[in-house]
Order: sequence, then structure tokens, then C-alpha cells
Amino acid sequence: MQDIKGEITSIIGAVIDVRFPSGAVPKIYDALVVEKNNLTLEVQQQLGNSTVRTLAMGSSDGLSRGEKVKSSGGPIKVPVGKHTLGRILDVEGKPIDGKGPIVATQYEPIHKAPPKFTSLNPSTDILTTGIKVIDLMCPIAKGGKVGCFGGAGVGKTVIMLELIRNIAVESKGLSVFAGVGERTREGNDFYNEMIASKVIDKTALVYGQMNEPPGNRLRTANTALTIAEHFRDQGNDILVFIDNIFRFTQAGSEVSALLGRMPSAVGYQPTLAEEMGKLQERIASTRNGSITSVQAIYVPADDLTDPSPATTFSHLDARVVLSRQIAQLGIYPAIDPLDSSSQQLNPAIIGNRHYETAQQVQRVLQKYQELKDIIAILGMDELSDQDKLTVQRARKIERFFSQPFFVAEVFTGTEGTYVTLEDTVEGFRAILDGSCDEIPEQAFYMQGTIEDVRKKAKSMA
Amino acid sequence: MAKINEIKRKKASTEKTAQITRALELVSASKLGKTSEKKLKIERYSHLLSKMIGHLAESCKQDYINDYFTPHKKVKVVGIIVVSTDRGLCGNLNTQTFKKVLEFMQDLQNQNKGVVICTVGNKATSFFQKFNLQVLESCAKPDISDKTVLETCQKLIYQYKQKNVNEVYVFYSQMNSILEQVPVKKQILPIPKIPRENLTGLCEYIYEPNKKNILDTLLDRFIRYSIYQAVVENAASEEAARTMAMKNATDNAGKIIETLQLSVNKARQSEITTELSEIIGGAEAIE
Repeated sequence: MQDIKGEITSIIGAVIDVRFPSGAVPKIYDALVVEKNNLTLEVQQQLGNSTVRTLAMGSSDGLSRGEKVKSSGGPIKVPVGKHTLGRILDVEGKPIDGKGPIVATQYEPIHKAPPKFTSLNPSTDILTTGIKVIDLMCPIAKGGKVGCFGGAGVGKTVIMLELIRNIAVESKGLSVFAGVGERTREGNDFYNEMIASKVIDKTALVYGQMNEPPGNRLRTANTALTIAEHFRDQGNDILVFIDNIFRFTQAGSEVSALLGRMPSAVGYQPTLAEEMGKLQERIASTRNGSITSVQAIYVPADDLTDPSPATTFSHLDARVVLSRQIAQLGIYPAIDPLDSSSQQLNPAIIGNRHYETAQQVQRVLQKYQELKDIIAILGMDELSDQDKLTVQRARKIERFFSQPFFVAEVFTGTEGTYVTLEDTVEGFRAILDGSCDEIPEQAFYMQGTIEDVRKKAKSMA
Repeated sequence: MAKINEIKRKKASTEKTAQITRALELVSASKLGKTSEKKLKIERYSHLLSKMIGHLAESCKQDYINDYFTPHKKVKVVGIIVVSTDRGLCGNLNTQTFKKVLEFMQDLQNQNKGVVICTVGNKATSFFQKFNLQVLESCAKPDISDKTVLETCQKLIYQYKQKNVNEVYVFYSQMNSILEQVPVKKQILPIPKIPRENLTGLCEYIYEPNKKNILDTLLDRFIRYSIYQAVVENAASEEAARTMAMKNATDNAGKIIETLQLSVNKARQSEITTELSEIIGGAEAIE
């Protein structure tokens, strides 16, 4: 193998063409290594004429044509297993936390086929997140896939962190975090959060943040998944967090034109659905173990019909949609209860009481939405008494959806709350049944359970 | 594309609403003139009437005392006449009147007094039906030339005569100006004392057949006109309030239409930009 050496023939940014001797052309996804600086290249296309088009997993600065490249004879392999826990890896599985090399016994390729559908094992157990609006309107299943959609700065990362805190800390299971193309500072915050909550030794982190070349950002999620899959196949229940899956699409789009593909709708790569499908299908629960994944998804220009979020939508079991309008009202988490949905919102899974409550909340909010136009033009006084009551309850529900977060304690100055599922359903039932009609709506803002609301109302009076 | 159509649809529906509110505003404004005129006339009439009654009562104080004048020593049941509009779209006119009525009823309840209600206008009728109250009589369509209103309230006055009700109040909205309508509580029975300064400028007349008979007839008329005046006053308030409410609604709709138009333009512009950049990008990729 070492004998087969290619030569760089062209360098355009992160895309590098390499010519090999005829008969020794590497396969697609094989990793190549530039001898001069140990830069890894991943084969993307075979161009014919013994030439392959590759993507650099690192900066291609300083390379020149004619430099020797050797083939490693297989895809990028990353360390897996317990040695990765508590460590921060880059896309190639190299440690970047400055704690010395990883002595792993097992290495796995980052490209793998998704599990066969006969071995899939969808679970319907509900995972309580302690966040009222998520538990009520878009319950998360163990082994399910959750997407957290939101435009810039509406709080995706904060919700992710809160979910990690509430699920990972409470479940005490293993988790894998992939930081894809987001702020390095956030990655650091997250690392420290993990250390502070003492779950770092159960977490593997893979970072390819926004300062890295597109090749890294494109494959970071694969590396993280490879580690997660290994744990799953050993029979563990794993949590996978990806922040942010849009950056994966974006990295693909950055190199797509350079790879010679014709841009598709809104300038995305024509292979958008395929790339997303390949990645998403690997995030699956099998008979051996489950992978529960939470993915943050950036929504460009707050437009959910943009191809990137739209492609991701169909892969998810539960969709948590963050809305700028709600964030502007100062309601955090700014989750839109009408846009958010979940496959688990089904009376057979969550029970009639929960289901009915969620449906009624939806109806009340929907009605309020319709009445808003009338209120804007004619004013509150023109509504019938029934409608006025609906509006009041809807406003209370909207406010009751807010709650203080543990991870936001430093910003808000209020202690976070974890609300059990029963308390959540109970609280919204109380509002719908009218037993809270007397309580002013301000009392519902940033409270945990309905009991907290009652206490607050008393202290206000 | 879907987004633009949606905004356009919303804009069209807002425009239609604005059209209706503008029409209502104009209709009410023209009606306001007529009702204000009527209101002024009836004000003058009832002023003269009260002057006359005050004078008569003064002059026959010694030998005649009417039930209408004497307050009951112990008030057990209070009659309330609530005057409202038939239709909405007149701002918070009715809500304010109802609020005043409810406050008054709360007071009465605290004093352990019973309430009998008589409603004029659909809004009051439907509002007070919700409460567990004794609604004596209600009538709709307070058309100000219609006497059914007075017949309705006549029952309450009959109850007063029978001493089943000890006091009667009327609640309505008084129009101070086109911008200001105030909910008002007016005592109807027993007839409040007419201030002395109103009685100047009248001299002693000779009455036929006698003072007593004339006073009795006049008092009936006076009570009916007090209620009638409230209805007319409320009708004037209604038109004034509706004019203002509809003007505000039209203005609000205008603002909404403006912002919607802006977002339609923005959406269209960004769509064009996207399409252009796609075409240019595609063309460049082919080269």
C-alpha cells in the first residue's frame, strides 16, 4: 500500500485533485494523506484518467502541485469505545483537548451503511425533558430524533444545553456531542458545563467548529455518529447532540460547486437530500441499543421552507420550532407551540388526558391567532365574552409556556425549574378548565408549576 | 411564493374590513346629527317638565303627597334599568355601562338588597342573562321613536307602585361630546328633589280641574320621559362612540395594510434576488 503514491494536480480551496498511477485509483471516501504535512484528503469523485477529486480535512494552505500523496487504503478511521469518553476529538479522531493521545484499541471508519430496517427498533417510551412546552406539545420518545429549528439568536443552543442538562444529567447514560460549525466559545461553554455537572466522563465530544475548513464541518457529524454507533452496538442507550446540522449542509454547499456540481434551488448542492439522508439514517435505534438524538437546526432568514431545514424536517420524530415572534415577546424558551409537533402526540402513546390537553391548548391558541386580526383592527371590546375568555386563557397559556432554565441562571438570575410531566399536564388543564381565570396573566410568566403561579399571584396581590 | 400569496390574501381581507368600517363610520356620523338634535329637544322638554312638576309639587306640598316622591324608609329591592345598544362595533360603550351597573349591584349585594333588572337593547339583554338575576323584562331594538321601550319599563314602575320595588335607577351612557361618553346612573324613583333654583320665574297659576289630578298625570309622564331621555341619550352616545370606534378601526386597518404591503414587496424582492442568483450561479457552474 505504501508504495502507491499519487500527485496533486490541482488545488482549488478545499478541493484537491490527485492523479494516481493507472490501476491504483483509490475508492470513493478513501482517506489519502499528503506526505508533506500529514493533511488528510477524502476522495469524493473519480474523474477518470486515474484522477480523483478529494476534499481536504484541514487547511490546504501551502500545498503545491506535484506533491506526493499516499493512499491509506480505506476511509478515515476514528477511535471508538470508552477511551473517547471525557475527551474532545476533531473530525479525524485526534484529541484537541491537550490531554495527550488517545490510546484506543478499536478504530472504526466514519462512513458506514445505516442499520438494516429489519433491525430497527422504534421505541415509544416518553423521555421527560422537564421543559413544559416540549413535554406537552412535542413529547420526545426514547430513541427518537428531535430537531430544534430556529433562526439566528432565538435560543437554539440554550434549549440544547438545557435538554442536555435535563436528559443527560438525569438519565446518567452515555452521550456524544457533535459541535458542527458553531461558535468555538459555545463549544468551550459546553465542555465546562459538562465538567461542572460531572457528566464529562460519560461524554465524548467531537468538534469541527466554524473556524475549520468545510471538509471538517462536513464530516464532524459522521465521526460523532461512528462513536455513538459503537456504543449503541455494545448495547447502550446513547444520547447524541448535534449543534448545528445546518452547518453540515452549509459545508456541503460550500464545496459542492468546487466539486463541479450544478447548484440547485437557493444555491444548495443538488445532492442535498442524499447527503442528509445518509447521515440521518444512521441516527437510528436498533435492537441492541437506542440513540436518542437532539439536533439544532438553523433556519436561514426564519424561512422554514428553505431547502435545508425542509430536507431535515422529514427525518425527525419530533420538531421543536423556535419563533422570533415569541422571542420578541420575551417568552423563553421561544418555542412555537403551533408549529412544533411530534409523532408521539398520540393518545395511544401519551394517554388520553395528556393528548386532550395538548389538543385543547392548540385549539385555544389557534383561535387566539384568528382573533388577533380582529383585535388589531376593532379592539378587544368588540369580542364576544366567550372570545374574550379564550383570548385571556390563550395569553395565560402563552406565558405559562415560559420557564426559567438551569443553564440560563447566570443570565436571568432566577433558578431553573424542572417540571414533571404530571405537573405540566395538570397546569395546562387548570388554565383550560378556567380555575385560573382569576389569576392575572403576569403571574404565569417564567414560572414552573401551576402551584408556583398561584404563589406568585398571591405575592403580587 | 406561497408566502407572498398568503400575505396578499391577508391584505385583501384587511382591505375589505377597512371598507366596511369606513362605511359604518360615515353612516354613524350622519346619524349622529339626527340623534343629537333629538337629544337636545328632549333635554329641553324634560327640563321644562321638571320645572313645572317642581312648581306644582311645591305649591301643593301641604295637602298632597305622592308615592313617587316619598323615599321608602327601608329599601329592600332595587330596580335597575340598563340601556344599551342593540349592535356592537361601538367601542367600550356598553362595557363601561355594564361595569358601572355591576359595581352598583355589588354594593347592593353588600347591603343585602335585592335587584330587579330591566334591560333595553340586545347587548344588555344577553349580558345580564348570564348572571343569575331576576330579569323583569327586556326589550330589543331601542328605536328611539318606538314606545315599546317605555312599555317595558312601565312594568318596573308598576312594581314600584305595588311596593315590590323600592327604588328605580336607570343606567345609560351620556354623550358629553363626540369624543367622550360617560356611563351615568340616574335615579328615577322616588323622584329626586328638584332644586329650588330651578323653580324661579314661575308664578302661581290656577289649575283645572285641580292640582292633584294634573300632578298625577304629569308625574307619570315625567317618569316615562326620564327613561325615554336616557334611551335617546344612549342612542346619541352610540352613534358618537361608533363613529370614533370605526374611525380608529379604519386607521388601524390602514396601518396593517401598509405593513402587509411592505412585506409583500420584501418577499417579492427577495424571491427575485434568489432566482437571479440561482440563474447566475447555475450559468457560471456550466462554464
